[in-house]
Amino acid sequence: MKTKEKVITVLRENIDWDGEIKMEHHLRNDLGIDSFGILMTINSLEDEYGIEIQDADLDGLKTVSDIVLRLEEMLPVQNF
Amino acid sequence: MKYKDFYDRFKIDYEVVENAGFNPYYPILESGLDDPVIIDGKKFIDLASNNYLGLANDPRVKEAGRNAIQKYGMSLCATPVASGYSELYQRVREKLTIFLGLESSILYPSCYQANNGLFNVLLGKEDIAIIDRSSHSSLIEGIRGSGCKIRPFLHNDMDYLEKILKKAGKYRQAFVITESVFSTEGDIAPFHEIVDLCDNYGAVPVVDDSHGIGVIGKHGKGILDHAQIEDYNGIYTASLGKALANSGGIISGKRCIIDYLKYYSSHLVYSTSLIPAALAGVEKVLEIIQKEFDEISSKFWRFKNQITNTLTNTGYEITNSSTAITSIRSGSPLQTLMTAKTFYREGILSTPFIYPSVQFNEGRIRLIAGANLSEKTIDKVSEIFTNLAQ
Repeated sequence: MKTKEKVITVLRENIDWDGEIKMEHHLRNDLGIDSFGILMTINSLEDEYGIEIQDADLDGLKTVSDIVLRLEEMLPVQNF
Repeated sequence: MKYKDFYDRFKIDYEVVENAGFNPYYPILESGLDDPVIIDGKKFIDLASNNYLGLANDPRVKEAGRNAIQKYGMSLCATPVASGYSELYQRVREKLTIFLGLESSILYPSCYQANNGLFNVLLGKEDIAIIDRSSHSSLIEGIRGSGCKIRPFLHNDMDYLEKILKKAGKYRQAFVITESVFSTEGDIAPFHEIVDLCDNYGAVPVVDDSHGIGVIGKHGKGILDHAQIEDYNGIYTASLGKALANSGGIISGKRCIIDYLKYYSSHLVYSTSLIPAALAGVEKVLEIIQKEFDEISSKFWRFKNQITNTLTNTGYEITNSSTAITSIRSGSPLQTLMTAKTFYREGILSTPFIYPSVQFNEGRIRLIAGANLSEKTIDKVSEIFTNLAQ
């Protein structure tokens, strides 16, 4: 599964949102996700990819696309 | 110039308040928690305070406070570790410990300080705090201050919790942290299941029973009474300023932990001790609970059920509360303030919660009818909600 699809799947498992999730969606304003929601999503992605994301790396995550890009920066190329 | 840049950073965003034409925060009360309360010279029905048992203005509790002032004065002007630890403090500690059925307790100036002081001392970066995502700010800020790994779990979701616990073995110690009664929803944590999971995985349960103590359980003793947990091996905290109608916070649990906090919790050691009037007030409230809980609780339950039924019948969407809290799902911050404003205009004081106290578009309006209110007052509340729906 591509990073983009994986992020959307994990988001759905961790937030109360039944509608469509788009890359440009703002995590708080469009999807109603608070800081704990972001943390839960990131924690699940850590488990999924076997990586550890430092809290400082969560700064600046505003949109779904930001999460995907941050992950892609951290993951080996073959995981894309 | 530098000063200006600094102070310019602290501008409050009043947009939602301005759009609603109503700021419900910091109302200036001109009375105690009477029926009615007075704000700006006008009478209001108090559905906002946490005065569940209606004892904040009870003559017996006030007399106990007055007697304590006569004996000890307003304050001992010292921290408990110095000369702020009175025989009254010691006695109330012991009575609360017996009331809860635990080994030992210590009293903080507030439960917020208790929760912050607790985690700061007991958790470090080698530990993991697994916390219900709907937990109170004091718990969240407390664990953040400790520097430990934080893993939130979906609200009251035991499968999610167990999934995290299974992977927590690499940490020095896992803690599972929750409120007993969730203050914005009114639902209760499945605490017996949480304790069982903690036992299975060697984690320490920590529960904040601020909205449970004096309210839930057969004898009003809170979550441990409600969940019928004996020989509790975890840590317990609660506010003394809600059903117990005074002020302060308590941490209870194993004697070794409490003794350790007495010397190493800076939030306790460096804070002026709880004032004697509040300690004496708590002592009197405990006495009243032990004698009158059945009668008092039947009253606030009757009020809660009447308000809940009226709101449901008039089309409000309310949460699935199993405690004395009635909570309306009020939507966006603006919708929440507009609804609270309507209640306020009709003489009802409520507690609106908007982001970040709740999730962004998940506003809540909390209503708590204390046992000090009259049947007539609650009938009036029902009449107001019914008229507003027409």
